[in-house]
Amino acid sequence: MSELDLRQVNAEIEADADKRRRQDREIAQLEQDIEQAWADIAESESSLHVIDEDGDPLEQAASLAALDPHVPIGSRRGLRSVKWIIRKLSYWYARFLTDQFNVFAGALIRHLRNVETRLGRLEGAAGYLGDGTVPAGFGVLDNPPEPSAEVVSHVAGLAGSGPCLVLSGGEGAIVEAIGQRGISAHGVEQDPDRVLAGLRRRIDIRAGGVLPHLVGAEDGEFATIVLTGFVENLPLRDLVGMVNQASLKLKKTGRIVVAVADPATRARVEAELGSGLGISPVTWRHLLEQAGFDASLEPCPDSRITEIVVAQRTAPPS
Amino acid sequence: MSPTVDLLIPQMASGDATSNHTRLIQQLLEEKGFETRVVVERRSRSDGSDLSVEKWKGDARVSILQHSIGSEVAQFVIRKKTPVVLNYHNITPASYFQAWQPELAKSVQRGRQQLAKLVRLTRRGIADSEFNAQELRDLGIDDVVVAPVLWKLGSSVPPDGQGDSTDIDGAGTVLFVGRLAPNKCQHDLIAAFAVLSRFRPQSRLVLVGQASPPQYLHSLKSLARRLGVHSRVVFAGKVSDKNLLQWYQLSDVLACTSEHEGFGVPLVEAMANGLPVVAYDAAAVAETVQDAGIVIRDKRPVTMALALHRVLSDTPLRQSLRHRGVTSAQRFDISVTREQMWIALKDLVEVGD
Repeated sequence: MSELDLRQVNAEIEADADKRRRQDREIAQLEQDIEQAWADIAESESSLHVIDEDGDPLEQAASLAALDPHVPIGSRRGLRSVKWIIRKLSYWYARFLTDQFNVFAGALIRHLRNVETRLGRLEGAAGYLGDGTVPAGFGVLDNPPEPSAEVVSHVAGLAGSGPCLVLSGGEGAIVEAIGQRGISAHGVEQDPDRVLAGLRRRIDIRAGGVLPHLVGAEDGEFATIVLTGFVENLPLRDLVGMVNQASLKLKKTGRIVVAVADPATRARVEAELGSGLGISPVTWRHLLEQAGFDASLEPCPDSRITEIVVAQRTAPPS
Repeated sequence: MSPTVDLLIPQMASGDATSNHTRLIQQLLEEKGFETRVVVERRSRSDGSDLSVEKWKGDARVSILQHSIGSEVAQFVIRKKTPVVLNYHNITPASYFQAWQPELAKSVQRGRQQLAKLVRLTRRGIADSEFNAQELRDLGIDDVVVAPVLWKLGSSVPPDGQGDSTDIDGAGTVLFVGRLAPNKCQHDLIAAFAVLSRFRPQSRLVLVGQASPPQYLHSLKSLARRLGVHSRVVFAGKVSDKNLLQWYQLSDVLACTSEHEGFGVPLVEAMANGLPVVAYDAAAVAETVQDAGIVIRDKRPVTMALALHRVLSDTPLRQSLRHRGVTSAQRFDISVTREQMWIALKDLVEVGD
């Protein structure tokens, strides 16, 4: 290309921005609103002490409780010798004290861990699942594998003619297959690695939680909503909320497609770890029928997802 | 017996640019036949070969101090009155952290106070950029040499810079790489992205980097949610080198709204990977980018958004920036920067050999 004058490009951009601010009140107002939004947020949150939500509180407590006598303490001119002597004298005493404190903190943490274990056992016996999530590192319950070609093909064939939303769409195979049929589709995925893999293939996969994304969508926006992936490991409470929200976001003639594995086919260890998480296709059908859909099960030639639930709306959303 | 060169740094940490830089200087000097030793404030568990500053005698022929924050290492240099080569990476003004992380604000303030005391002990200043060099000269250090940060530039783009010429339509991935910190002003980038979404509803913003402080990340998420763009903003966190390279390859433009950059490593990495750069003209940014990117003086959301929109929509402009970036990034190839660093140190370390 011919030699480009970047100063000219910069001038054009700045002139265009000024022009839009002058001529488009909405743009000018938007800029002011954004500035105000940040001013509000920064003022309210900057001085807050936010604890790492992902960290184990006991680990944080243990870390905070451990004092380190090796931390250098610095010096000022003229006080060097005095500080050196004080430092040497106080070093062993400080170390003794911190050792004692660390032992005490360790014992306290051990007791708290015992209490936590006992409470966990009690909660387990009572069937309480805490926040309903499974800790990382427990195999297939962490995040179900990507759907097979059979599932992708079957689900894509069920997409209606309008916009389609795939919840927990993984790397986007279903979104891609639906798109190849000329239907507008996008997916939502909470695993950043899968989002990255999808984006690399230029598939419209958006990062974030499935339920917040669904809540944020327009009412009546989608012709088809596909529930798959992580959805199969959610507790019933979340699933009911999801069905209600999906129902609101569907067009009058929309449909919900559920492609999840049956929890009854889980191996024993996974079944125990995932107790209370996920429901079978038959229960999905029941749930969707209760929500006013005409639901049916379609067999799918896949080793994990053997049945796909197709729910067509028959009654207007409540 | 004492080594020829002591390399002083607060702490060696994996993935830290200054730590990598120090190791590469050490490698360079050892290849030239000089004995070196890394002196740290706190020894890392993984590497027991480094010397704790408390045992440091300051008797090496040359001591090179890495300075970018208040540190005990700098305090020992001042206390021992040891002449040093001051490798200056700039210190972020404390005002950026006062409201978010007061302890960090104190630490950078201490770094500034130490810098003033280090002036009389400095044999030579080595600055990453002319911007940093000028700051040292203003403090009264006359012998200042510019030698950029040493790091191995990862790139997958052919040297001719030819490649992607596809139209991005209504989409486009905007990338930011660096710590999520108040001085980097990612809130301005999210604001610009909210405006950009009006023009390009399918666009995405990817923020790669660790949050410091965590409250700031929390606020960025709140802002994205309040502006209705949260589903299109990816907070990728700290990533491996391999993943970082993938993000550079995957994205369509690198945006930088930072108000304080002593050099700007991600700007160079983006250019080396053929990614066009749109940046706010602050500190050393313009000097690093030169004529290989769009450097604007106004980062109000509409202006920044239009700059990004222009780069995403104008394929010839994007191709030109890509080509210029790849060419320009060669200035910072490790073979070039090593030579610059060697020239900066040669006469000092060779005395007496």
